[in-house]
Amino acid sequence: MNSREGQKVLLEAKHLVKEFPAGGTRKNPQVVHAVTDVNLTIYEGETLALVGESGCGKSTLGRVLIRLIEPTGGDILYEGQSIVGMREAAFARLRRQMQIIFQDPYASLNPRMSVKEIIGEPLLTYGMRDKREREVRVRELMKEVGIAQEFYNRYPHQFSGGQRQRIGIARAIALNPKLIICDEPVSALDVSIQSQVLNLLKDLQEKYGLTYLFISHDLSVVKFIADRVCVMFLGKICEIGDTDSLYEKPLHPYTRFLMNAIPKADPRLRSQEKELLSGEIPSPVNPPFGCRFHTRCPYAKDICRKEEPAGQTVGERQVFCHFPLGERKSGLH
Amino acid sequence: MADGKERQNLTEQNPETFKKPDGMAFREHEENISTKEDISGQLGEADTWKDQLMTLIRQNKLAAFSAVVIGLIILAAIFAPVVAPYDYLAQSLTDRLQDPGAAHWLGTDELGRDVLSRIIYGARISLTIGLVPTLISMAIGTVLGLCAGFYGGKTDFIIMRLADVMLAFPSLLLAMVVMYTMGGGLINIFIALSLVNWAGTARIVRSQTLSLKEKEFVEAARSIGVKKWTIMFRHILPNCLPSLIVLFTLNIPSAILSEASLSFLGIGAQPPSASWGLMVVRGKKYLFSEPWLSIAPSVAIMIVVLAFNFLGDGLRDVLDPYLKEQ
Amino acid sequence: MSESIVLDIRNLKSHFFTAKGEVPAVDGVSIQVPAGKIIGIVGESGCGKSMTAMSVMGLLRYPGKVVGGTIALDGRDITHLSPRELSCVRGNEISMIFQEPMTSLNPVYPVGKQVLEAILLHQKVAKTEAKKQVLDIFRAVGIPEPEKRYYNYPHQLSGGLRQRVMIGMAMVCRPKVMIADEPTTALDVTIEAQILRLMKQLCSEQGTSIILITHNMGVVAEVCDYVYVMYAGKVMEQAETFELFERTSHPYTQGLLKSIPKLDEKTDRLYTIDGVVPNLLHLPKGCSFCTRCSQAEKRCFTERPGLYKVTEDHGARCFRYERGGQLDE
Repeated sequence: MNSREGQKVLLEAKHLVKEFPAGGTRKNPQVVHAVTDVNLTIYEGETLALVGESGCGKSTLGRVLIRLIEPTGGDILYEGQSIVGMREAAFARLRRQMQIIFQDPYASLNPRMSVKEIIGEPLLTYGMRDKREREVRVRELMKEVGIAQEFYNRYPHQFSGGQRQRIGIARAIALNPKLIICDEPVSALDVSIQSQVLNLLKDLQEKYGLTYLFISHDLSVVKFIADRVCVMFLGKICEIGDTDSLYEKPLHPYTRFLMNAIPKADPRLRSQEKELLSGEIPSPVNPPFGCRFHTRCPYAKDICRKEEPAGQTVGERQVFCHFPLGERKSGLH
Repeated sequence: MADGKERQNLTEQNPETFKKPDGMAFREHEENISTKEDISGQLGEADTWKDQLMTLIRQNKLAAFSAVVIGLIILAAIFAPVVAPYDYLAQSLTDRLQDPGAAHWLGTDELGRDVLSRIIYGARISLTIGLVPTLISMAIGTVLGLCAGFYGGKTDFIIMRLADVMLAFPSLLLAMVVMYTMGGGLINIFIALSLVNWAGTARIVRSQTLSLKEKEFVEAARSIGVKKWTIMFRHILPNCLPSLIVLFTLNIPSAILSEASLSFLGIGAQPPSASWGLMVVRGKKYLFSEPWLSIAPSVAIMIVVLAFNFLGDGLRDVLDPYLKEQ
Repeated sequence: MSESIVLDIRNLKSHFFTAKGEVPAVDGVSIQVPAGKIIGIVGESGCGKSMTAMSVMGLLRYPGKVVGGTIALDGRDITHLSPRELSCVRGNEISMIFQEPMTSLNPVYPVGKQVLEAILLHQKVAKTEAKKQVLDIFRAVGIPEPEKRYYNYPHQLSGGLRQRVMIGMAMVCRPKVMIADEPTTALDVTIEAQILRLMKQLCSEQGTSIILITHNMGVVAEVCDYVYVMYAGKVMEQAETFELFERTSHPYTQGLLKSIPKLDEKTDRLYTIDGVVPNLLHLPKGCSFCTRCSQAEKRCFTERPGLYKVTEDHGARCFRYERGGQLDE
């Protein structure tokens, strides 16, 4: 999916801001800048991956986009319609089109509800009162995600992590949504289970034309599943682009370091000399002035400390850096 | 304990959200692979309530025995007319103050009424007093606690300050005030005890609600668009149930004791009803000549209270996940 | 392996005693750790890798128990030491770091003080001398501004720094072996890479052997010299790292490696190992992997395979390599 012409925009974030109070004094309150001025477009039918380290605001952004958390500022357009500040009653109609799959399959299912109640809950909420009708649909969904029919009355603690994640997926697709936020859906799973769930997500997308916003810190998983990738650092977007070209030639220094840092399952790629990022992630309470990455960036110049980089468009891609790597250097290893 | 809680929290909180930015400690991505997790993962099936019941019986013989005792007392109370050898009100002045013997196992009181029969009938009063006001007060406490925890803010503040005020007062004193103003009698005891005891429940339910509402499954329900009240009663309340059951069994004996104390002080159950507290105070006059008149109902109170306490402790061991972690 | 073996685990068996029966969480595991090398134990959750570590450290508590096998440290059997002798060995000769450094550090003391205590506990030195050592260690594990960090409380440090403190604490007495149980799982990739590099550096500079327990094949490939792949309480395959990745022999290891999405290739579907990890209480009668194995034969369901030689130093628990004969463990 390299060209974006003819693709319909499903969701659009404009100058989105989310800040959380973080204590401080009444006179001098502190805030966590979780998401700062993010512009993002999600096209129908694509998988857009949101990548970054912990604290970069990717999970918050995912939740703000479907209004699980109310944004502090900015606007969100769903199919061209602003959903920020929309009344709950009017939003309910749209809410069923946006669902979310969570990271922790142990915490995301109510331990006191059986599989039939968990998967049936969205159906019940949107007016499928008839028990028999609901059972048919729940069983259909169970088959869809690969949960055996005899588990219909079982409780979550009787399932393994992978199976629970499948139940969570069934709940998310129950209402035939258009957009699903996948918040690290496989990072709590074992390697052999992870690939099963990833394949399932891909199959479902093909079958129902789903749009995914796939939040992950794992770049190899993202490479497999995503059409486009958006790299975030400390509440801001560093770089957005098509998966293939972004992996082949990262434009933002941070993207390149992130890729360098992944331990690769091939000892031949081992090298002591590969460049590593030094230092820690700065605090989102007092993010660095200028480019937020400059404290860790080995290429930082004066301007990076003074001025926030504006977005540059390089081909199909967008990069927020004063000195994008571009032709200077490329390659992963 | 603290360690166990810590680990619990770590695994349950959604990493990397900013919901609670306490200081700078952002949760990082993690995958809990402690040995404990390992093993429960392998076994796959955690305990159902039937298993839990079996565990209780196997592990805590005292609690199981207490449950049997409570069961017997409840049966005796229900079938009192059948079980009791005499009518508890039947006076026989010729048989006054008899020593325990073959005819009257626990002797007779100053009006010639059979003490054993009166104790059996007294179980009816004590158990109703134990159950009804406890149920009412816990229902009040649960709803208030749920609201306080779920809505937070001003609702929380008002409810919890009210609870603080209730808890700051000695509950028996408060009940006495209520009883003095409204007069004695069973119904008034119900009201007094219900009004007094909700605060403890509210506190516990509130703290559980606070932690439960941050859970991902509640977030999942919100993302579906489930209504707030439905979330409270379908998702949060059932997860408070284990603690509520434990709390219930532990609240019953304190209600029974309160009734006994109120009756002892003469502002509870009124004669001629066969309340245990009343029987103790009536026997007080004959404490040195006929001690069984006071001792028998006191022992009855003690057995019931102990049985409920042992059962409550046993249930807590099985049901309360925090204690189970240890 | 001709080098001198520092830690020699032979036929270790650790079981869990649960209400539902005895669970063989570690079932006859033999691991040799040569001096100055990094040994990887890799496997999915529930394969017994953490249990092995806990058994070696003598940290297994009820309902878990070591029921068989020997653990020898530098030729000395430490399997049956009294708790007192064991605590002397622990920290001094073997040390361990955990996945989540926050739970292993006491939140109410400054980190420097905690490392200081560890030094005073095992060495007879004056306090000022010990403090100097702490600062040296902090410098060695790459903690910036050690004098300032000395007085910081655990919650004031980031995850990466906390893990560095933990590694520093583990290195205090220059142990012969350090066991690292998923040391980087809770960390971000850029920090993970730093910590892995640090461990590698400590290993080569100080000659400490490291047992690295992980579920991440990438981490193994990156730093380990020799790898043990565990599944359902048993070692399925063991080989020198390059050998393992070049000539992956056991179907489980093959499946595991194939199911990881690769950075340098684009596929539409990932390879999957069907099914789930079996319940240790009801393991298949034959090979424990037979129910999920794509190459299983009739015999795999009835007989238990031994650890057979693929090459001289490469073993796989699979009948396909029976010709090579048993690998002497």
